[in-house]
Amino acid sequence: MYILKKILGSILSLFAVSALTFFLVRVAPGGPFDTDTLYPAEIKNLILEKYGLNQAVSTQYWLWIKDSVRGEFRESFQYLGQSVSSILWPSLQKSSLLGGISLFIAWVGGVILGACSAAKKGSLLDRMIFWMTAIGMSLPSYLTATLLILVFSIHLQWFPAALWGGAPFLVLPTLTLSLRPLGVITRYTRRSMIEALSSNYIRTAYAQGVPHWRIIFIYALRNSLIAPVAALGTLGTHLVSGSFLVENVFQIPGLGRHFVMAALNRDYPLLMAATLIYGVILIAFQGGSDFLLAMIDPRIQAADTESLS
Amino acid sequence: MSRAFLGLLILAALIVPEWGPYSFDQQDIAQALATPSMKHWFGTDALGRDLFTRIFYGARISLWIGFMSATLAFILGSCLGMLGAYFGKLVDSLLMKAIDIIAIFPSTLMAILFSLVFGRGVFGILLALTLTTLTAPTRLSRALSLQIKQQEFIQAAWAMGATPWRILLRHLIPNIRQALLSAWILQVSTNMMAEGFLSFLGLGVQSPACSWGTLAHEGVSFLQSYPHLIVFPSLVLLTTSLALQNLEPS
Repeated sequence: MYILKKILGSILSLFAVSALTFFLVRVAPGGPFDTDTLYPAEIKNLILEKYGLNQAVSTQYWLWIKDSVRGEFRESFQYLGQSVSSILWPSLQKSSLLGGISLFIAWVGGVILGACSAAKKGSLLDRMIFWMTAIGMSLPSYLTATLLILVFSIHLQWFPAALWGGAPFLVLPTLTLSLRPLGVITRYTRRSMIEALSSNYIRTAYAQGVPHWRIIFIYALRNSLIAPVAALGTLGTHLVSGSFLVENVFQIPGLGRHFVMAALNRDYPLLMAATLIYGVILIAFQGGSDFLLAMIDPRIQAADTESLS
Repeated sequence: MSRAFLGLLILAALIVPEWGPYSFDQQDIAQALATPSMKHWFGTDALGRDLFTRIFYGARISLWIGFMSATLAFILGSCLGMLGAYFGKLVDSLLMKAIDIIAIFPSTLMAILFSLVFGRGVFGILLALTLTTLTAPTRLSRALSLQIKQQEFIQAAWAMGATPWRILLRHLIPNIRQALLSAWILQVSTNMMAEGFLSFLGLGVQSPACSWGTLAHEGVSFLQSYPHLIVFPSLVLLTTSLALQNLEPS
Protein backbone atom coordinates (compact mmCIF):
# COMPACT_ATOMS: atom_id res chain seq x y z
CA MET A 1 0.00 0.00 0.00
CA TYR A 2 2.81 2.34 0.97
CA ILE A 3 4.74 1.61 -2.24
CA LEU A 4 1.61 1.91 -4.39
CA LYS A 5 0.91 5.35 -2.96
CA LYS A 6 4.47 6.43 -3.64
CA ILE A 7 4.33 5.25 -7.27
CA LEU A 8 1.00 6.95 -7.87
CA GLY A 9 2.36 10.16 -6.40
CA SER A 10 5.44 9.97 -8.61
CA ILE A 11 3.36 9.60 -11.77
CA LEU A 12 1.35 12.66 -10.73
CA SER A 13 4.57 14.63 -10.19
CA LEU A 14 5.84 13.62 -13.62
CA PHE A 15 2.59 14.85 -15.15
CA ALA A 16 2.93 18.17 -13.42
CA VAL A 17 6.57 18.62 -14.41
CA SER A 18 5.90 17.68 -18.04
CA ALA A 19 2.92 20.03 -18.26
CA LEU A 20 4.91 22.91 -16.73
CA THR A 21 7.77 22.38 -19.14
CA PHE A 22 5.50 21.91 -22.14
CA PHE A 23 3.55 25.12 -21.59
CA LEU A 24 6.51 27.22 -20.48
CA VAL A 25 8.51 26.52 -23.65
CA ARG A 26 5.47 27.35 -25.74
CA VAL A 27 4.96 30.63 -23.91
CA ALA A 28 8.58 31.55 -24.59
CA PRO A 29 9.08 33.67 -27.68
CA GLY A 30 10.57 31.91 -30.71
CA GLY A 31 9.71 28.62 -32.38
CA PRO A 32 11.69 25.64 -33.62
CA PHE A 33 11.74 26.67 -37.28
CA ASP A 34 12.22 30.41 -36.95
CA THR A 35 15.69 30.29 -38.43
CA ASP A 36 14.45 28.78 -41.71
CA THR A 37 13.51 32.21 -43.08
CA LEU A 38 14.36 31.21 -46.63
CA TYR A 39 11.23 29.15 -47.12
CA PRO A 40 8.01 30.72 -48.37
CA ALA A 41 5.00 30.73 -46.08
CA GLU A 42 3.28 27.70 -47.68
CA ILE A 43 6.27 25.46 -47.12
CA LYS A 44 6.60 26.69 -43.58
CA ASN A 45 2.98 25.82 -42.93
CA LEU A 46 3.59 22.35 -44.32
CA ILE A 47 6.51 21.90 -41.93
CA LEU A 48 4.38 23.05 -39.00
CA GLU A 49 1.63 20.67 -40.07
CA LYS A 50 4.03 17.74 -40.36
CA TYR A 51 5.06 18.19 -36.74
CA GLY A 52 1.55 19.02 -35.56
CA LEU A 53 2.62 22.49 -34.43
CA ASN A 54 -0.38 24.30 -35.93
CA GLN A 55 -2.80 22.75 -33.47
CA ALA A 56 -3.79 24.28 -30.17
CA VAL A 57 -1.14 23.86 -27.49
CA SER A 58 -3.48 21.88 -25.24
CA THR A 59 -4.24 19.44 -28.10
CA GLN A 60 -0.52 19.08 -28.71
CA TYR A 61 0.03 18.30 -25.06
CA TRP A 62 -2.75 15.74 -25.08
CA LEU A 63 -1.26 14.04 -28.17
CA TRP A 64 2.17 14.08 -26.54
CA ILE A 65 0.77 12.43 -23.39
CA LYS A 66 -0.90 9.73 -25.49
CA ASP A 67 2.33 9.04 -27.36
CA SER A 68 4.41 9.00 -24.20
CA VAL A 69 2.11 6.59 -22.40
CA ARG A 70 2.48 4.22 -25.36
CA GLY A 71 6.23 4.71 -25.13
CA GLU A 72 6.49 6.42 -28.51
CA PHE A 73 8.67 9.47 -28.85
CA ARG A 74 8.61 11.49 -32.03
CA GLU A 75 11.39 12.59 -34.29
CA SER A 76 13.70 15.32 -33.12
CA PHE A 77 13.28 18.71 -34.81
CA GLN A 78 16.97 19.42 -34.90
CA TYR A 79 18.40 16.04 -35.88
CA LEU A 80 16.22 15.25 -38.88
CA GLY A 81 15.09 11.66 -39.23
CA GLN A 82 16.45 10.56 -35.87
CA SER A 83 14.08 9.44 -33.17
CA VAL A 84 14.47 11.06 -29.79
CA SER A 85 15.30 7.76 -28.10
CA SER A 86 18.13 7.00 -30.53
CA ILE A 87 19.67 10.38 -29.64
CA LEU A 88 19.09 10.29 -25.91
CA TRP A 89 19.90 6.66 -25.14
CA PRO A 90 23.69 6.82 -25.79
CA SER A 91 23.93 10.18 -24.04
CA LEU A 92 22.01 8.85 -21.05
CA GLN A 93 24.50 6.01 -20.74
CA LYS A 94 27.42 8.43 -20.67
CA SER A 95 25.75 10.70 -18.14
CA SER A 96 24.76 7.77 -15.92
CA LEU A 97 28.30 6.43 -15.90
CA LEU A 98 29.61 9.85 -14.96
CA GLY A 99 26.93 10.39 -12.32
CA GLY A 100 27.19 6.86 -10.94
CA ILE A 101 30.94 7.04 -10.35
CA SER A 102 30.63 10.50 -8.83
CA LEU A 103 27.81 9.36 -6.58
CA PHE A 104 29.91 6.43 -5.38
CA ILE A 105 32.95 8.62 -4.66
CA ALA A 106 30.87 11.28 -2.95
CA TRP A 107 28.79 8.97 -0.81
CA VAL A 108 31.29 6.33 0.25
CA GLY A 109 34.10 8.86 0.58
CA GLY A 110 31.85 11.25 2.46
CA VAL A 111 30.70 8.63 4.97
CA ILE A 112 34.29 7.50 5.63
CA LEU A 113 35.64 11.05 5.98
CA GLY A 114 32.70 12.07 8.16
CA ALA A 115 33.08 9.03 10.41
CA CYS A 116 36.84 9.60 10.79
CA SER A 117 36.39 13.24 11.58
CA ALA A 118 33.69 12.49 14.17
CA ALA A 119 35.81 9.73 15.71
CA LYS A 120 38.70 12.16 16.18
CA LYS A 121 36.55 15.17 16.99
CA GLY A 122 38.58 18.30 17.66
CA SER A 123 41.82 16.80 16.38
CA LEU A 124 44.01 18.13 13.61
CA LEU A 125 42.49 15.58 11.20
CA ASP A 126 38.99 16.82 12.06
CA ARG A 127 39.94 20.42 11.40
CA MET A 128 41.68 19.52 8.15
CA ILE A 129 38.62 17.63 6.92
CA PHE A 130 36.42 20.54 7.99
CA TRP A 131 38.38 23.05 5.93
CA MET A 132 38.70 20.71 2.96
CA THR A 133 34.96 20.18 2.83
CA ALA A 134 34.29 23.88 3.39
CA ILE A 135 36.46 24.75 0.41
CA GLY A 136 35.02 21.87 -1.61
CA MET A 137 31.51 23.16 -1.01
CA SER A 138 32.39 26.79 -1.72
CA LEU A 139 34.55 26.21 -4.77
CA PRO A 140 32.47 27.11 -7.82
CA SER A 141 32.45 23.95 -9.93
CA TYR A 142 33.53 25.86 -13.03
CA LEU A 143 36.66 26.95 -11.18
CA THR A 144 37.35 23.36 -10.08
CA ALA A 145 36.91 22.18 -13.64
CA THR A 146 39.09 24.85 -15.21
CA LEU A 147 41.82 24.52 -12.58
CA LEU A 148 41.89 20.74 -13.03
CA ILE A 149 42.17 21.18 -16.80
CA LEU A 150 44.89 23.80 -16.40
CA VAL A 151 46.99 21.68 -14.04
CA PHE A 152 46.37 18.09 -15.09
CA SER A 153 45.84 18.32 -18.81
CA ILE A 154 47.59 21.48 -20.00
CA HIS A 155 50.64 21.53 -17.73
CA LEU A 156 51.14 17.94 -16.61
CA GLN A 157 49.31 16.35 -19.58
CA TRP A 158 48.16 13.39 -17.47
CA PHE A 159 44.51 13.38 -18.45
CA PRO A 160 42.67 14.57 -21.57
CA ALA A 161 41.02 17.98 -21.19
CA ALA A 162 37.73 17.17 -22.89
CA LEU A 163 35.62 14.83 -25.00
CA TRP A 164 34.69 11.25 -24.37
CA GLY A 165 36.75 8.08 -24.63
CA GLY A 166 38.11 5.53 -22.20
CA ALA A 167 38.71 5.69 -18.48
CA PRO A 168 41.25 8.58 -18.55
CA PHE A 169 38.54 10.84 -19.96
CA LEU A 170 36.42 10.18 -16.89
CA VAL A 171 38.90 11.26 -14.21
CA LEU A 172 38.62 15.05 -14.31
CA PRO A 173 34.83 15.22 -14.87
CA THR A 174 34.05 12.84 -12.00
CA LEU A 175 36.43 14.70 -9.69
CA THR A 176 34.68 17.97 -10.50
CA LEU A 177 31.23 16.48 -10.14
CA SER A 178 31.84 14.67 -6.84
CA LEU A 179 33.68 17.38 -4.91
CA ARG A 180 30.66 19.33 -3.67
CA PRO A 181 28.45 16.31 -2.81
CA LEU A 182 31.46 14.80 -1.02
CA GLY A 183 31.58 17.82 1.27
CA VAL A 184 27.85 17.71 1.93
CA ILE A 185 27.84 14.00 2.81
CA THR A 186 30.92 14.39 5.03
CA ARG A 187 29.20 17.14 7.01
CA TYR A 188 25.98 15.17 7.43
CA THR A 189 27.79 12.01 8.53
CA ARG A 190 30.00 13.88 10.98
CA ARG A 191 27.08 15.58 12.64
CA SER A 192 24.96 12.47 13.07
CA MET A 193 27.95 10.35 14.09
CA ILE A 194 28.77 12.78 16.89
CA GLU A 195 25.16 12.59 18.01
CA ALA A 196 25.18 8.78 17.89
CA LEU A 197 28.44 8.63 19.85
CA SER A 198 26.93 10.54 22.74
CA SER A 199 24.05 8.09 23.21
CA ASN A 200 23.70 5.62 26.05
CA TYR A 201 24.27 2.39 24.15
CA ILE A 202 27.64 3.64 22.97
CA ARG A 203 28.67 4.54 26.50
CA THR A 204 27.65 1.05 27.58
CA ALA A 205 29.73 -0.44 24.78
CA TYR A 206 32.77 1.59 25.88
CA ALA A 207 32.21 0.50 29.47
CA GLN A 208 32.24 -3.10 28.33
CA GLY A 209 35.61 -2.53 26.71
CA VAL A 210 34.67 -2.69 23.03
CA PRO A 211 37.56 -1.23 20.96
CA HIS A 212 37.17 2.34 19.67
CA TRP A 213 37.24 1.59 15.92
CA ARG A 214 34.71 -1.21 16.38
CA ILE A 215 32.34 1.14 18.15
CA ILE A 216 32.70 3.71 15.38
CA PHE A 217 32.29 1.47 12.36
CA ILE A 218 29.99 -1.23 13.72
CA TYR A 219 27.96 0.23 16.58
CA ALA A 220 27.57 3.89 15.70
CA LEU A 221 27.78 3.87 11.91
CA ARG A 222 24.40 2.26 11.31
CA ASN A 223 22.60 4.91 13.27
CA SER A 224 24.59 7.73 11.76
CA LEU A 225 23.82 6.56 8.23
CA ILE A 226 20.32 8.01 8.48
CA ALA A 227 21.38 11.57 7.68
CA PRO A 228 23.57 10.76 4.64
CA VAL A 229 20.93 8.37 3.27
CA ALA A 230 18.23 10.99 3.70
CA ALA A 231 20.49 13.40 1.81
CA LEU A 232 20.46 11.14 -1.27
CA GLY A 233 17.49 13.00 -2.72
CA THR A 234 19.30 16.34 -2.55
CA LEU A 235 22.43 14.64 -3.81
CA GLY A 236 20.55 13.60 -6.94
CA THR A 237 19.63 17.22 -7.64
CA HIS A 238 23.25 18.27 -7.07
CA LEU A 239 24.51 15.64 -9.48
CA VAL A 240 21.97 16.49 -12.17
CA SER A 241 22.68 20.23 -11.99
CA GLY A 242 26.40 19.56 -11.79
CA SER A 243 26.27 17.35 -14.86
CA PHE A 244 25.03 20.30 -16.95
CA LEU A 245 28.17 22.21 -16.13
CA VAL A 246 30.61 19.31 -16.29
CA GLU A 247 29.29 18.14 -19.64
CA ASN A 248 29.47 21.70 -20.89
CA VAL A 249 33.05 22.35 -19.77
CA PHE A 250 34.43 18.94 -20.70
CA GLN A 251 32.49 18.76 -23.97
CA ILE A 252 30.89 15.43 -23.08
CA PRO A 253 27.94 14.55 -25.36
CA GLY A 254 25.74 13.59 -22.41
CA LEU A 255 22.12 14.20 -21.48
CA GLY A 256 22.76 17.63 -19.95
CA ARG A 257 24.27 19.04 -23.12
CA HIS A 258 21.44 17.68 -25.23
CA PHE A 259 18.99 19.18 -22.80
CA VAL A 260 20.47 22.68 -22.91
CA MET A 261 20.80 22.58 -26.70
CA ALA A 262 17.24 21.31 -27.08
CA ALA A 263 15.91 24.12 -24.92
CA LEU A 264 17.83 26.76 -26.85
CA ASN A 265 16.85 25.31 -30.26
CA ARG A 266 13.21 24.78 -29.21
CA ASP A 267 13.56 21.10 -30.11
CA TYR A 268 10.33 20.24 -28.26
CA PRO A 269 10.31 16.43 -28.59
CA LEU A 270 13.92 16.14 -27.43
CA LEU A 271 13.40 18.62 -24.59
CA MET A 272 10.27 16.87 -23.32
CA ALA A 273 11.87 13.45 -23.38
CA ALA A 274 14.94 14.73 -21.54
CA THR A 275 12.72 16.44 -18.94
CA LEU A 276 10.90 13.17 -18.33
CA ILE A 277 14.18 11.31 -17.93
CA TYR A 278 15.40 13.87 -15.38
CA GLY A 279 12.10 13.63 -13.53
CA VAL A 280 12.38 9.86 -13.34
CA ILE A 281 16.01 10.05 -12.16
CA LEU A 282 15.20 12.52 -9.38
CA ILE A 283 12.15 10.55 -8.27
CA ALA A 284 14.28 7.42 -8.21
CA PHE A 285 16.81 9.16 -5.98
CA GLN A 286 14.09 10.28 -3.60
CA GLY A 287 12.37 6.90 -3.65
CA GLY A 288 15.63 5.02 -3.19
CA SER A 289 16.48 7.23 -0.25
CA ASP A 290 13.09 6.60 1.39
CA PHE A 291 13.42 2.87 0.79
CA LEU A 292 16.93 2.66 2.26
CA LEU A 293 15.85 4.75 5.24
CA ALA A 294 13.03 2.35 6.00
CA MET A 295 15.52 -0.53 5.78
CA ILE A 296 17.98 1.07 8.18
CA ASP A 297 15.40 2.30 10.62
CA PRO A 298 12.00 0.54 10.60
CA ARG A 299 10.52 3.30 12.76
CA ILE A 300 10.76 5.74 9.86
CA GLN A 301 8.41 3.84 7.56
CA ALA A 302 5.88 3.40 10.33
CA ALA A 303 5.95 7.13 11.07
CA ASP A 304 5.68 8.04 7.40
CA THR A 305 2.66 5.86 6.66
CA GLU A 306 1.00 7.17 9.78
CA SER A 307 1.35 10.77 8.67
CA LEU A 308 0.10 9.90 5.19
CA SER A 309 -3.14 8.27 6.24
CA MET B 1 36.75 37.95 10.20
CA SER B 2 33.81 36.86 8.08
CA ARG B 3 31.85 39.93 9.07
CA ALA B 4 34.75 42.23 8.30
CA PHE B 5 35.27 40.65 4.90
CA LEU B 6 31.61 40.85 3.95
CA GLY B 7 31.41 44.43 5.20
CA LEU B 8 34.44 45.44 3.14
CA LEU B 9 33.05 43.64 0.11
CA ILE B 10 29.73 45.43 0.29
CA LEU B 11 31.48 48.76 0.85
CA ALA B 12 33.76 48.17 -2.14
CA ALA B 13 30.82 47.07 -4.26
CA LEU B 14 29.16 50.40 -3.47
CA ILE B 15 32.23 52.58 -3.91
CA VAL B 16 34.52 51.11 -6.59
CA PRO B 17 32.14 51.10 -9.60
CA GLU B 18 30.92 54.64 -8.75
CA TRP B 19 34.06 56.53 -7.81
CA GLY B 20 36.82 54.26 -9.11
CA PRO B 21 39.02 55.39 -12.01
CA TYR B 22 37.17 53.15 -14.50
CA SER B 23 33.54 52.29 -15.12
CA PHE B 24 32.39 48.68 -15.47
CA ASP B 25 31.68 48.93 -19.22
CA GLN B 26 34.41 51.34 -20.26
CA GLN B 27 36.41 49.72 -23.06
CA ASP B 28 40.03 50.36 -23.89
CA ILE B 29 41.08 48.11 -26.75
CA ALA B 30 44.69 49.24 -26.56
CA GLN B 31 44.86 47.79 -23.05
CA ALA B 32 42.94 44.56 -23.89
CA LEU B 33 43.95 41.40 -22.00
CA ALA B 34 46.49 43.22 -19.84
CA THR B 35 47.89 41.14 -17.00
CA PRO B 36 47.61 42.51 -13.45
CA SER B 37 49.63 45.70 -12.98
CA MET B 38 49.62 48.89 -10.90
CA LYS B 39 47.26 50.52 -13.39
CA HIS B 40 44.83 47.59 -13.62
CA TRP B 41 45.10 45.64 -10.36
CA PHE B 42 43.36 42.52 -11.64
CA GLY B 43 44.22 43.09 -15.33
CA THR B 44 41.70 43.69 -18.09
CA ASP B 45 39.39 41.50 -20.18
CA ALA B 46 39.23 40.95 -23.95
CA LEU B 47 37.64 44.36 -24.50
CA GLY B 48 40.06 46.17 -22.22
CA ARG B 49 37.56 46.60 -19.39
CA ASP B 50 39.12 46.85 -15.95
CA LEU B 51 38.58 43.53 -14.16
CA PHE B 52 38.88 45.02 -10.65
CA THR B 53 36.00 47.39 -11.33
CA ARG B 54 33.96 44.68 -13.00
CA ILE B 55 34.40 42.30 -10.09
CA PHE B 56 32.97 44.83 -7.64
CA TYR B 57 30.23 45.76 -10.06
CA GLY B 58 29.50 42.02 -10.35
CA ALA B 59 29.46 41.79 -6.55
CA ARG B 60 26.32 43.91 -6.50
CA ILE B 61 24.48 41.54 -8.82
CA SER B 62 25.84 38.30 -7.34
CA LEU B 63 25.16 39.31 -3.74
CA TRP B 64 21.80 40.81 -4.60
CA ILE B 65 20.55 37.71 -6.40
CA GLY B 66 21.87 35.37 -3.71
CA PHE B 67 20.41 37.47 -0.91
CA MET B 68 17.06 38.23 -2.52
CA SER B 69 16.27 34.75 -3.79
CA ALA B 70 17.18 33.10 -0.48
CA THR B 71 15.26 35.70 1.54
CA LEU B 72 12.12 35.52 -0.59
CA ALA B 73 12.23 31.72 -0.57
CA PHE B 74 12.65 31.67 3.21
CA ILE B 75 9.85 34.12 3.94
CA LEU B 76 7.46 32.34 1.61
CA GLY B 77 8.63 28.85 2.55
CA SER B 78 8.42 29.41 6.31
CA CYS B 79 4.86 30.67 5.96
CA LEU B 80 3.86 27.73 3.78
CA GLY B 81 5.46 25.25 6.16
CA MET B 82 3.71 26.74 9.17
CA LEU B 83 0.41 26.81 7.28
CA GLY B 84 0.78 23.12 6.45
CA ALA B 85 1.65 22.25 10.02
CA TYR B 86 -1.22 24.32 11.43
CA PHE B 87 -4.01 23.08 9.16
CA GLY B 88 -2.75 19.53 8.61
CA LYS B 89 -4.82 17.08 6.58
CA LEU B 90 -5.73 18.21 3.05
CA VAL B 91 -3.95 21.58 3.06
CA ASP B 92 -0.79 19.96 4.34
CA SER B 93 -0.77 17.10 1.85
CA LEU B 94 -1.51 19.43 -1.09
CA LEU B 95 1.28 21.75 -0.04
CA MET B 96 3.75 18.92 0.37
CA LYS B 97 2.73 17.50 -3.00
CA ALA B 98 3.47 20.86 -4.64
CA ILE B 99 6.84 20.97 -2.88
CA ASP B 100 7.62 17.43 -4.07
CA ILE B 101 6.91 18.53 -7.64
CA ILE B 102 9.27 21.48 -7.33
CA ALA B 103 11.87 19.18 -5.83
CA ILE B 104 12.04 17.00 -8.93
CA PHE B 105 12.42 20.07 -11.13
CA PRO B 106 16.19 20.62 -11.45
CA SER B 107 17.05 24.28 -10.87
CA THR B 108 19.03 24.43 -14.09
CA LEU B 109 15.98 23.29 -16.03
CA MET B 110 13.80 25.90 -14.41
CA ALA B 111 16.39 28.61 -14.99
CA ILE B 112 16.61 27.68 -18.67
CA LEU B 113 12.83 27.74 -19.03
CA PHE B 114 12.50 31.08 -17.25
CA SER B 115 15.34 32.56 -19.26
CA LEU B 116 13.42 31.55 -22.40
CA VAL B 117 10.18 33.09 -21.16
CA PHE B 118 11.45 36.29 -19.52
CA GLY B 119 14.66 36.76 -21.47
CA ARG B 120 18.10 36.20 -20.01
CA GLY B 121 18.80 38.43 -17.10
CA VAL B 122 18.42 39.13 -13.43
CA PHE B 123 14.64 38.67 -13.22
CA GLY B 124 14.42 35.19 -14.73
CA ILE B 125 17.29 33.91 -12.64
CA LEU B 126 15.90 35.44 -9.45
CA LEU B 127 12.52 33.84 -10.02
CA ALA B 128 14.01 30.44 -10.88
CA LEU B 129 16.28 30.42 -7.82
CA THR B 130 13.51 31.56 -5.50
CA LEU B 131 11.17 28.84 -6.71
CA THR B 132 13.69 26.02 -6.62
CA THR B 133 14.94 26.92 -3.15
CA LEU B 134 11.41 27.05 -1.80
CA THR B 135 11.53 23.34 -0.92
CA ALA B 136 14.11 23.48 1.88
CA PRO B 137 12.58 26.23 4.08
CA THR B 138 9.06 24.85 3.61
CA ARG B 139 10.06 21.36 4.71
CA LEU B 140 12.20 22.70 7.54
CA SER B 141 9.60 25.03 8.98
CA ARG B 142 6.89 22.39 8.63
CA ALA B 143 8.96 19.79 10.46
CA LEU B 144 9.93 22.23 13.22
CA SER B 145 6.37 23.48 13.62
CA LEU B 146 4.96 19.96 13.82
CA GLN B 147 7.51 19.15 16.50
CA ILE B 148 6.72 22.25 18.55
CA LYS B 149 2.97 21.96 18.07
CA GLN B 150 2.92 18.78 20.16
CA GLN B 151 4.90 20.17 23.06
CA GLU B 152 3.25 20.90 26.36
CA PHE B 153 3.73 24.64 26.46
CA ILE B 154 1.78 25.04 23.23
CA GLN B 155 -1.01 22.83 24.51
CA ALA B 156 -1.02 24.80 27.72
CA ALA B 157 -1.33 28.01 25.72
CA TRP B 158 -4.28 26.57 23.81
CA ALA B 159 -5.90 25.46 27.03
CA MET B 160 -5.56 28.95 28.44
CA GLY B 161 -7.45 30.29 25.45
CA ALA B 162 -4.66 31.89 23.42
CA THR B 163 -5.65 32.87 19.88
CA PRO B 164 -3.91 31.20 16.90
CA TRP B 165 -2.15 34.49 16.09
CA ARG B 166 -0.78 34.79 19.59
CA ILE B 167 0.49 31.20 19.50
CA LEU B 168 2.04 31.81 16.10
CA LEU B 169 3.76 35.06 16.98
CA ARG B 170 4.66 34.53 20.65
CA HIS B 171 5.32 30.80 20.82
CA LEU B 172 5.93 29.21 17.42
CA ILE B 173 8.04 31.78 15.56
CA PRO B 174 10.46 32.55 18.44
CA ASN B 175 11.13 28.84 18.76
CA ILE B 176 11.86 28.04 15.14
CA ARG B 177 13.52 31.35 14.21
CA GLN B 178 17.07 30.36 15.06
CA ALA B 179 17.08 27.15 13.00
CA LEU B 180 15.53 28.92 10.03
CA LEU B 181 18.05 31.77 10.23
CA SER B 182 21.07 29.46 10.18
CA ALA B 183 19.65 27.61 7.20
CA TRP B 184 18.94 30.96 5.51
CA ILE B 185 22.58 32.11 5.71
CA LEU B 186 23.71 28.89 4.07
CA GLN B 187 21.05 29.31 1.42
CA VAL B 188 22.31 32.80 0.55
CA SER B 189 25.71 31.30 -0.13
CA THR B 190 24.26 28.37 -2.08
CA ASN B 191 22.09 30.63 -4.21
CA MET B 192 24.98 32.96 -4.93
CA MET B 193 26.94 29.96 -6.16
CA ALA B 194 23.95 28.77 -8.19
CA GLU B 195 23.75 32.17 -9.84
CA GLY B 196 27.43 31.95 -10.75
CA PHE B 197 26.86 28.49 -12.13
CA LEU B 198 23.93 29.56 -14.31
CA SER B 199 25.65 32.70 -15.55
CA PHE B 200 28.72 30.64 -16.31
CA LEU B 201 26.58 28.43 -18.54
CA GLY B 202 25.47 31.60 -20.32
CA LEU B 203 21.92 31.45 -18.94
CA GLY B 204 22.13 34.32 -16.49
CA VAL B 205 23.28 37.89 -16.48
CA GLN B 206 24.45 39.05 -19.90
CA SER B 207 27.27 41.40 -20.91
CA PRO B 208 27.97 44.33 -20.53
CA ALA B 209 26.36 43.88 -17.12
CA CYS B 210 28.03 41.11 -15.19
CA SER B 211 27.93 38.90 -12.15
CA TRP B 212 30.88 36.81 -10.98
CA GLY B 213 29.58 33.91 -13.04
CA THR B 214 29.36 36.05 -16.18
CA LEU B 215 32.97 37.15 -15.66
CA ALA B 216 34.10 33.53 -15.40
CA HIS B 217 32.03 32.71 -18.47
CA GLU B 218 33.81 35.45 -20.42
CA GLY B 219 37.18 34.39 -19.06
CA VAL B 220 36.97 30.69 -19.78
CA SER B 221 37.95 31.00 -23.45
CA PHE B 222 41.24 32.59 -22.39
CA LEU B 223 41.99 29.87 -19.87
CA GLN B 224 45.33 28.84 -21.32
CA SER B 225 46.92 32.22 -21.85
CA TYR B 226 45.11 34.48 -19.37
CA PRO B 227 43.89 32.35 -16.44
CA HIS B 228 43.58 35.46 -14.23
CA LEU B 229 40.33 36.31 -16.05
CA ILE B 230 38.62 33.28 -14.54
CA VAL B 231 40.67 32.85 -11.37
CA PHE B 232 40.08 36.30 -9.81
CA PRO B 233 36.27 36.37 -10.07
CA SER B 234 36.05 32.76 -8.92
CA LEU B 235 38.32 33.36 -5.93
CA VAL B 236 36.17 36.28 -4.82
CA LEU B 237 33.10 34.05 -5.07
CA LEU B 238 34.91 31.30 -3.14
CA THR B 239 35.97 33.65 -0.33
CA THR B 240 32.52 35.22 -0.07
CA SER B 241 30.89 31.82 0.11
CA LEU B 242 33.31 30.70 2.84
CA ALA B 243 32.67 33.90 4.77
CA LEU B 244 28.91 33.42 4.56
CA GLN B 245 29.19 29.83 5.73
CA ASN B 246 31.20 30.85 8.77
CA LEU B 247 28.83 33.64 9.67
CA GLU B 248 26.76 32.83 12.71
CA PRO B 249 23.46 34.66 12.59
CA SER B 250 22.65 36.63 15.69
